[in-house]
Amino acid sequence: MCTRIACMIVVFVFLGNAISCVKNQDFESITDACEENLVANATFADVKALYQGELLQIQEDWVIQGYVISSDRAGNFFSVLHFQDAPAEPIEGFQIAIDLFESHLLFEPGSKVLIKTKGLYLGQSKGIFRLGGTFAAFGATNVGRLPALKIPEHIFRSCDQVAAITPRKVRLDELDNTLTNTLVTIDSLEFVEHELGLPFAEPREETERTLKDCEGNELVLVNSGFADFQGELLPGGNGSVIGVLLRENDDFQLVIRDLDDVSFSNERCEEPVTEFTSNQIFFSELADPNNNAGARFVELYNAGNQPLDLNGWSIHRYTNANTEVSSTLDLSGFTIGALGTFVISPNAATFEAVYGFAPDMGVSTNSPADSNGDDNLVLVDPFGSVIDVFGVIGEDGSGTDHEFEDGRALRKVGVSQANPIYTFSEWTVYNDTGAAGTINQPQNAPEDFSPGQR
Amino acid sequence: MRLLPLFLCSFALFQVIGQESISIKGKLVDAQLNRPIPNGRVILGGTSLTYETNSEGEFELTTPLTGERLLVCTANDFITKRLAIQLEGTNLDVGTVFMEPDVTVEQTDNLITLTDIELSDDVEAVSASAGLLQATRDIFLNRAAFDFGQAFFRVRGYDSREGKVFINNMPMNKFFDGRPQWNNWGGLNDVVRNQTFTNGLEAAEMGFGGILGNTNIDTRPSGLRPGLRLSASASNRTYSGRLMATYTSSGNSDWHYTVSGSRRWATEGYIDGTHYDAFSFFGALEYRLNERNSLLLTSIMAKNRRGRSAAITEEVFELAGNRYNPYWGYQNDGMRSSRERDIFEPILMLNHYFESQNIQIVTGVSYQSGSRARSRLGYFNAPNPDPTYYRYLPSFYINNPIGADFTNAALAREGFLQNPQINWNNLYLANSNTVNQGKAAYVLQNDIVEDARFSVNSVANLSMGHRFLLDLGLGHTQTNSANFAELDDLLGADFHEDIDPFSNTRNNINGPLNKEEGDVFSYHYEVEATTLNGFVQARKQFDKWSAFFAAEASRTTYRRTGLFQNERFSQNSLGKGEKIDFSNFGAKGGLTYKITARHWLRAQAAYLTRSPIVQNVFVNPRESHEVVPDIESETVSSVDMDYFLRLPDLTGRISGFYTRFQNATDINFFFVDSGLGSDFVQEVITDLDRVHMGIEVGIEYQVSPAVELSLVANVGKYLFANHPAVTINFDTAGQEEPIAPEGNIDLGLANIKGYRLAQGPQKAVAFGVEYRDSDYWWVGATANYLANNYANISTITRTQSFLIDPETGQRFVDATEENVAKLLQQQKLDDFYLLNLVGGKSWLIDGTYVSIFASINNVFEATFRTGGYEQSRNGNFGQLQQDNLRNNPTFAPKYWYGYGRTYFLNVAVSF
Repeated sequence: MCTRIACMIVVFVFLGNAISCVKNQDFESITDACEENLVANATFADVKALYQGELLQIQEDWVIQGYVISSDRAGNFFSVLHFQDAPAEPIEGFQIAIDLFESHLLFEPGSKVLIKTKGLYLGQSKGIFRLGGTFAAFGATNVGRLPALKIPEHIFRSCDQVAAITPRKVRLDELDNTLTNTLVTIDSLEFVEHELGLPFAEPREETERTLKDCEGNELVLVNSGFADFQGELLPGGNGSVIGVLLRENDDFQLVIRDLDDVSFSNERCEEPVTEFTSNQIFFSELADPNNNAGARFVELYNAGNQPLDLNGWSIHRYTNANTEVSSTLDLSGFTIGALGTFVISPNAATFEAVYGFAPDMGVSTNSPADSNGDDNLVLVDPFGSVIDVFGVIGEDGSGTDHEFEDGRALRKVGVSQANPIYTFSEWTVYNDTGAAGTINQPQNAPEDFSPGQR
Repeated sequence: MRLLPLFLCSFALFQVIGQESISIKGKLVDAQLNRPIPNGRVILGGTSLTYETNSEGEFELTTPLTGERLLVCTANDFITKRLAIQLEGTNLDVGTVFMEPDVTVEQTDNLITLTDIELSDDVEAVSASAGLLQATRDIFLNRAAFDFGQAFFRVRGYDSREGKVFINNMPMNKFFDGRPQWNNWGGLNDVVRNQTFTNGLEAAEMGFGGILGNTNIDTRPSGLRPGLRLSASASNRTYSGRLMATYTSSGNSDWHYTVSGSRRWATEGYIDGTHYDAFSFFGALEYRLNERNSLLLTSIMAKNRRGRSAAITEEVFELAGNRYNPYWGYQNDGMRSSRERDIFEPILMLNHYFESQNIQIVTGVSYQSGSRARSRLGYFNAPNPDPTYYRYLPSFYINNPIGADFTNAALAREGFLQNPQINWNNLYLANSNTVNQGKAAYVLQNDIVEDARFSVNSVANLSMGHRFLLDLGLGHTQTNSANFAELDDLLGADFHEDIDPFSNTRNNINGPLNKEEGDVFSYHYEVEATTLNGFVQARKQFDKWSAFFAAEASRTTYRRTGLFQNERFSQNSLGKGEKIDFSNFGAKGGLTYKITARHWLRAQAAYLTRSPIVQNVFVNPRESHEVVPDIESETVSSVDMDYFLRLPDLTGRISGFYTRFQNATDINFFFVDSGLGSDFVQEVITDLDRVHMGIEVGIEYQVSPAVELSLVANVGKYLFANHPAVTINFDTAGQEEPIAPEGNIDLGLANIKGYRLAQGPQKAVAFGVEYRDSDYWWVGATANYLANNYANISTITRTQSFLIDPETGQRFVDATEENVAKLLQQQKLDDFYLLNLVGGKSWLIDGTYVSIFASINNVFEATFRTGGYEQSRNGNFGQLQQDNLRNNPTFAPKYWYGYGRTYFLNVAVSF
């Protein structure tokens, strides 16, 4: 009896179980959270073409498809999805503003999304088309973030596998508007020198940094002050940057997803080499005309077959017996032609009046080009090496073989190489004393001189 | 042995005086079945002494009283019968008293569905006390339970912890929150029906008790109705169906037993997405060793799983209605709740009863273990999955500080109406994110409390002559409570990284970082609570007077043991924490004066101290050992006065009460933008005083044998009674600019004196009509008016920090006293009317008793709020003022909405 009744009760109670259908806690995992049935029936261009100059709510029941290229995982993007129409070689890109944190969880880079356009707002700002909800401020309404609970009505994750997005490889001088809102990679970039040492962004502030290539072309990199890497210092070096190309009217901007998009493992761009040395540049004529001290000049000759940039070259003058440099003439900014001369005058106007043409370089009086004939001159290359010398440093020229007072020192035509040690045999020297093998024959300008000719 | 002097004291107080006595005897018989009624009770009017009938329904009592008296005969499931008797010094035999079955008894089945509302045990929990009141015949308490209960009315504004529940004299209230957990025996209405209830401060036989009242459930099979009872119910409240079956053995052997089982279910209740799934089993075996000794073995297993519902703002209510519940969503076409509550804590109890002429001693040991689990969605560096999150609602766009954006608000509104539920699809999608490489963004977790509770208890009731009763009790309870989070479902992910995403610190330095389904994560600690208590009580009776006095002493110890070493509190989280001791004492007493046998006056008072409940002792036990500084016992003082009227056709009472709770502690958790900064904080309120005062009226008038009118009213005032101290605590790990480097700030006093407590309607009136046909059917209607209900205030906004502009650190210029008072004025919830209908009929067909019962609540579908709370987010004047200017403030108060029209239908068959 006892067990019979107990059984009855148990059966009765479990009868309730049969009638009821309370779901137990063990739910099957959702394996088909993605959207399988939607098919795109319009292009980005179709949608953008709807724009008539002001904000509009799209009434066309279209579906567009795209591949997400942005990510808010690191916080550099916020409340926006950028997407392009193909994982590689895209024709077009687009963007939609959404009011959702951590949207990368649903729409990670490479995921294919299908967007139902009907009901979304379309607008243009600074030349860029945007989709989304609205944003009203200061009396104007623009495209704003689509409210979070509206997102499931408009943006669908396709069941396709997450695609690998191949960023388009471009050079800075190739950027054009069709690349807007697509993922690009640009090689050989580096941050401009004066920004090195700064963080990617100031805290809580959108911050612009400047990238440049070795040719000097520049591109703005925009970073969020809320990004995880905001406080990281800009890397030195040079390399490639992947990012979503944005635009404000004609100004391009790049935004990276995270620091993995920046790989700077190369050396920074080299500065162009403009300093060269040569032993084929030398003094070829020094002039102290007897009749006109204002027509003094120094002539250099380039015996080489290539023009030479004189950047960094200089002439030192050791006046009289001085062992310290008395004055220096920087030749930077000038070039001496192949088998050509380079004439420097301390009185360019007089020079031109006397010789009938302008000197290659006009300098001040008392400069190395203004020697009165008893000084010593040294030609120094950009690296500090003495290339050629006239005279003997520490020895006043008067009465020596390197005096050209009131005269002229002329390098013999056979000399085709500079000589850092003064060698009298390479010279023909005229002066007013004739000591030590020189010729006592004061010279008058212009007839006794040959500036610009060897 | 602190109790001994008290004990002696009580003897001295009530001397035993011998006097000439007469005996009154009789027999209670079931009028419908013509069977004797065992376990009936007979009370001689004007005394507090009750006499039980024996198994043949016979009773005999002795009394020295004389004159006209009422003899009140009661029995469970029968209509109370009052006999006028004349005592003239000779023995009296009242003969056979035929008792009519009470067809309204089925109403208690209905009541149980109301107690289910108590399940919303969130931090902002509401807790009605309806369950406690089911055994009483007091018209006021009946209305409070059956009619006001649906509006979360609380008797005297008390929390349900003020009522104590005993099973076979063993205390059942939980140490964590002090409340009885009705689900531990839910669905077993047939077998927990044998209850005795004492109201308020009245003397209870089984213990000192609570100030709201005490219910003692007697599970002895010998006291239950023999035979088989089957019942089936249908409802649209919390469950849609219920089946219940109970069998109690009959006969006069030394063995009695009862088995019972029930099943309750619903795919959803009145509130959307609140599924219900409950099983209960009960077995009791009683063996009478001899005339005086019997043993009772009771086992109770009740499992209850259901979907919870949320408080919502008015904005959400206007969008989605009073059935709306954001906690669920569809998963593969099934409704899945993100917040379930699952309780299964079986009880095994062994009692020994010793009963002689003058002595009853009930001794018991009980063991209860099991778990209470609540699920919720955890999200880690992921969007909030709650569709009612403020950023997702239209108000977010209207309330934009730059300017209202009505077009986007319209989109948000459409979005909410189209997607108002948890989007499980997106949670799975997010967790399948390949960049995360299997790491979960969302997890479904269970917050689990696993209690193992052992109690021993012994209570003696001694009759020291006719006029003097002495009750003594001693009890010990030990509870080990393990608290932890369990990773229930990774929702398609491979693992969960167990760190705190805000501070990037580990929840447990010692364990593995990555967790899988079934793993314990986030927090893990145990609390050990022990209580030793003793009470003594004397009851004494004079001709015109009766009096009682009771005293209690107890010692309670709490200790936390951390099983995780939390990185944020690495020095203060692992291993055993300090022991926290409380020694407490309580005394209460009462005097009853009988003006005549039909008019009595009574005055009672109590003063007691008690240990704070565990949830108010530890600042944040999930993370550290830290205890509320200078924690001390609460003090409760209470007085009440009653006038009782017992005319043959007019009965009732009027009571006044005044109760003061002092030195209370309260802890709340929330995110706040305070004047000092923004953070997730634990708000610790100490030295908190509350006052409850009011008047209760309950009158029944018997117009004719069939028609009864009743009027019940409660006019109460439940207030904060002082300015308590407020401290906020927060963790500073990983924060660049914490509000304060020490991790806590003393905010000073909160200016809350005079604010109303959120303890349900403080004013309630009910008018009832009942027609009871002699052909065993009846109908009743009550019209109810409920008023003066208030939402819970935020305390932090009433501190000085509220006035400080977080931008400048200076006081807001426009925060004048007048502006602040206006802003912080407490909002009253709407008053409302409810009409409830009940009816039933019973038949006796070939010895089979069949009854039906039906009730319809809120016939006119009144919309009402049962309670709510201010959100504490707007913790500074500027922000709150700005937000409150709006139609739908972003951080508006949240409310619970009452049910619309609901029904309950029950059919029962007894063999």
